[in-house]
Amino acid sequence: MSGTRKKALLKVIILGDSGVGKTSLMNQYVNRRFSNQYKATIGADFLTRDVQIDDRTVTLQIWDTAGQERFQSLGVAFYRGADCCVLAFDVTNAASFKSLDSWRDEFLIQASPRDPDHFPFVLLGNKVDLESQRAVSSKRAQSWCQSKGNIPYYEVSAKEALNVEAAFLAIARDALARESQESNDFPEFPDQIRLNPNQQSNSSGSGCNC
Amino acid sequence: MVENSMINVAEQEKALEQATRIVKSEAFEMKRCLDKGKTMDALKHALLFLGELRTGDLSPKFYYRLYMDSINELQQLETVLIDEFTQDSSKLNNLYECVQYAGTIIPRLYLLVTLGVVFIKCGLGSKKELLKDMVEMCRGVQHPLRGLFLRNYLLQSTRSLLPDSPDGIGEKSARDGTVSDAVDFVLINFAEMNKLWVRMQHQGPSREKEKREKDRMELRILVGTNLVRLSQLESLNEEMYVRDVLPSILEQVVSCKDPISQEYLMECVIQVFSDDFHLSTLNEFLAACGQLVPEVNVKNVLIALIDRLALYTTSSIEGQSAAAPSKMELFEIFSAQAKDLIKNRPDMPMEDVVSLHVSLVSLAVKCYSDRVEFANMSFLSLRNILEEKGVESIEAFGKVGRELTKLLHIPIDEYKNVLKLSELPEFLKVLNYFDYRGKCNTSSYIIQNLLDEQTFLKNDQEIQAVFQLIEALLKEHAEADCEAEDFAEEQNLVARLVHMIRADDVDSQFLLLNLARKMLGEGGKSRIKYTLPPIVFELYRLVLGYRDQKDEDEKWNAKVRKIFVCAMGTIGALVSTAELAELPLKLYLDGAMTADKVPFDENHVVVYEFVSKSMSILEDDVADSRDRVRCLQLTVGALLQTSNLPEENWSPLASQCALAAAKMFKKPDQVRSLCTVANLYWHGKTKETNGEMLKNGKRVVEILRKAVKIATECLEPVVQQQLFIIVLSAFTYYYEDGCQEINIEQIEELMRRTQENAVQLDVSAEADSLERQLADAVKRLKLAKLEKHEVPVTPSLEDCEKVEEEQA
Repeated sequence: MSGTRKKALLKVIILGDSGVGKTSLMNQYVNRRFSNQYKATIGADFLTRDVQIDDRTVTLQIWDTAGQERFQSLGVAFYRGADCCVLAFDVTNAASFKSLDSWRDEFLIQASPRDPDHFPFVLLGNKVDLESQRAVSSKRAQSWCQSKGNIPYYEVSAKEALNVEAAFLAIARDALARESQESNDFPEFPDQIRLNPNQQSNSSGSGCNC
Repeated sequence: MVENSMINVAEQEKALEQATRIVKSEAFEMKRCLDKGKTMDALKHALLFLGELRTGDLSPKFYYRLYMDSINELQQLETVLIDEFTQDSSKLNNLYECVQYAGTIIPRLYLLVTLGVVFIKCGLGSKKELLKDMVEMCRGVQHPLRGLFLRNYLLQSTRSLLPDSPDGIGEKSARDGTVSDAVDFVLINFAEMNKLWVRMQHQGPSREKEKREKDRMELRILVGTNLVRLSQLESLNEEMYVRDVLPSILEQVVSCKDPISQEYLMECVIQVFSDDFHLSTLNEFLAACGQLVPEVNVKNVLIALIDRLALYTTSSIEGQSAAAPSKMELFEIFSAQAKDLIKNRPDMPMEDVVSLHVSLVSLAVKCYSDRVEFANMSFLSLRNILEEKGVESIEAFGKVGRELTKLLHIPIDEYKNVLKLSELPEFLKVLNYFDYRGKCNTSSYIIQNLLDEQTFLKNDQEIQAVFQLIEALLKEHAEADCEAEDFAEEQNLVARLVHMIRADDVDSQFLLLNLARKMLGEGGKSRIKYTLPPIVFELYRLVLGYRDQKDEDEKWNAKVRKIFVCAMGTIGALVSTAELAELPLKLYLDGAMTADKVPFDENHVVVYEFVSKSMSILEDDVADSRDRVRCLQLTVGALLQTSNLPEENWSPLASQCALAAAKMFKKPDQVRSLCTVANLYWHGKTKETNGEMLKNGKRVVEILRKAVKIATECLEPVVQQQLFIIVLSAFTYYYEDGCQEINIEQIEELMRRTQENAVQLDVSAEADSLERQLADAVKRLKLAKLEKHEVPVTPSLEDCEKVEEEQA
């Protein structure tokens, strides 16, 4: 069976300070809804949305996470197996921008991808509808992205559905391109732990003896 | 104990590693089977890796990692199955039957949930019924840890499937259910999870109680996720929340009688539901708080609720449903609740009492900016409690002190105008409960805010009010450590405060500065050296203000004179009380230069007085020889800046300078200082010279000759050489500038002596440098001669070199 026919499942993690709008971004993208009411996120939870990229259907599994550490009492095991990490900040809140470094570091430490320098990150600056209250200029965000190996940057508004669709599409593309490069970010099968040496290669085993 | 847990962690890592390895390899096989279309075989592999979740060896955090890996794989399975059965669902029932026969319950239920989700996503069966089945069948697992994770999986994988349409009759809602069915589903799951979670507390030996509590704290988010799920239901309206949802939650919370569960879930309710819902159910919620077991720290719950609602802006409170309390009631409700709580729990630690007030003040200040008395009431209530409990002094960095600091910062930060603090008379009274350090810290914070916000002090009430708030920094105190860095930092802040005094007109400004000077003057010698100089500078600035409007005020002469008298007195205090020398000397000189610039009647009297005062300081109070040299330089510099002294006043000052120069203790200092003073007689200006320079060549030569004589008396060759070069340069300078009294032979004589000296110097870096300096001096002299006698245009350096070559 050809592997390309298979529907791809991509795991995307959204990280950022409390109140920057991670849940709103995900809700806008998946459900096309927005609410002004603030509700804190507890733990981590995902929603999925299918997206067509060229001729492939890709299921994006988007993990929305709690920005407040006290709501992560079980740790951050949900970082495991991520294909892309979305960092979000609030353009009207300079502190949320300053935290980006620690979110990125924390992700790289906890998820420990094989090639941390080339792991796909995307930066979203949310709440651009509140232009008059802006505290972080687009230039400043871009130069941060540059310093981290040219992370793509999108200015979005979950409230006005501005750029959200485009940003997530780009995220999916990035993660997919990465997957097709067959560079596996997370080591899966160290050879020495193969349970059954007969199954060393796919072609040799004619049948499954399970 | 620590060692034990370390070993434990290593063991857990090992157990986890083993389990994940199996998950990976079985999942790999599962995916291969899926690729080949062997679905049934794939499920068998899935059952094998899910079997790892039966482990009892892992603590919650490690189990979570295993769980996360497993459900990542299940997600893959789900995606493929949906893909496969969307077109042809006939085989799905078959699979379901098969899985039913799986031997162990944990893997079976995980797979059944997965298949249930596939059923629903493929549009098979009644969604409502399937959900009900799934939540019921999970009862099969009664082990707390495993049950909690299984139900979390159920909750996670059904997230987007929960019926979320308003209640109503219709074919679709009958099959798929409505939001009420979703609520029932989640509430059942919630109740079951909470029971598992609470039961955990009572399983196992009592010596492991602490570990169990830790495990439970880690697992709490799984239980809380149920509440998150409810809050995500779009069709769950306020009416349903008030009528069904909250009462069910609260009943579960109250009846479980478990402190960990109660405290967490109450906070969870506050965090996950919207403000509107809270406002509509405030009484019910607070009533439930009263029914919690005594071990629960209700203060935390109350603080969480107040803080949440304090963020809620004024505008959004208006126009709520009838059930919501009015804005005014909100503060009163919380004040009363806090009061009851403190009364009912006499053992509540003082830091908790204060932190409760932090929330109340924050609510009052943020939501009721127009009702200052609310904030004051909260401060008052805290003061009453402090008084009742006989608290005398609160340590700045203790537990209570830290909360108190937070409390006091709220109105400072929020008002952004510390003058508004005077509308909170109780603020100061609470502040005064702090120990000396605490008071100083808060005072500094107040000044910093005033500076940051550019809050000007415009009248004496405002000055009095602020000075009262920062009294700790202004008065002598036994605990003050005047040598400490903090002390200097704090006093510098007070100094900066002086510059924020800004009355509307010059006359009032003078009165305000006088007031401030009087109050700051009481700070004692270690404070006034920081706080009085800015007063003096402000006075000088004020003089310039009077000058600018001299045509509008006929009394301006007298007023300016009065300011100088005031400045003189202030500087005098720095001499007599603070026992300083250089600082007041500089302030006097500054005053002299200011007075010279302002054309009030007889301004020269002030100039003379101020310069002579600075010279007396030089005479009497500056002992160190290097300091004396520097102070004389400053004095000469200041005198050179003046131009309005009559000759009769100027003369004694200049001679005094020359005298001081000649009286320096070390000979080299004498020589250097004389060269400095020579300047006065050349560049100085008096009233009589009308803006022209004095150019008294006779005196210049006398002074320089004296300098040569003293230099000759210096026995050390290198030093002598240095001095010769200095004097030589000075001679050359005045010669160049047209001083008739200097004849070239005189200079050349000195030059020869200097050159002879140079040959005798021992070889050293210093001698080399002097050599170069001398060469420069020679070059310069030649240039001067050239200019004087031959060439009218200024020769360039190259010309000069040419001359040199020719001569050679």
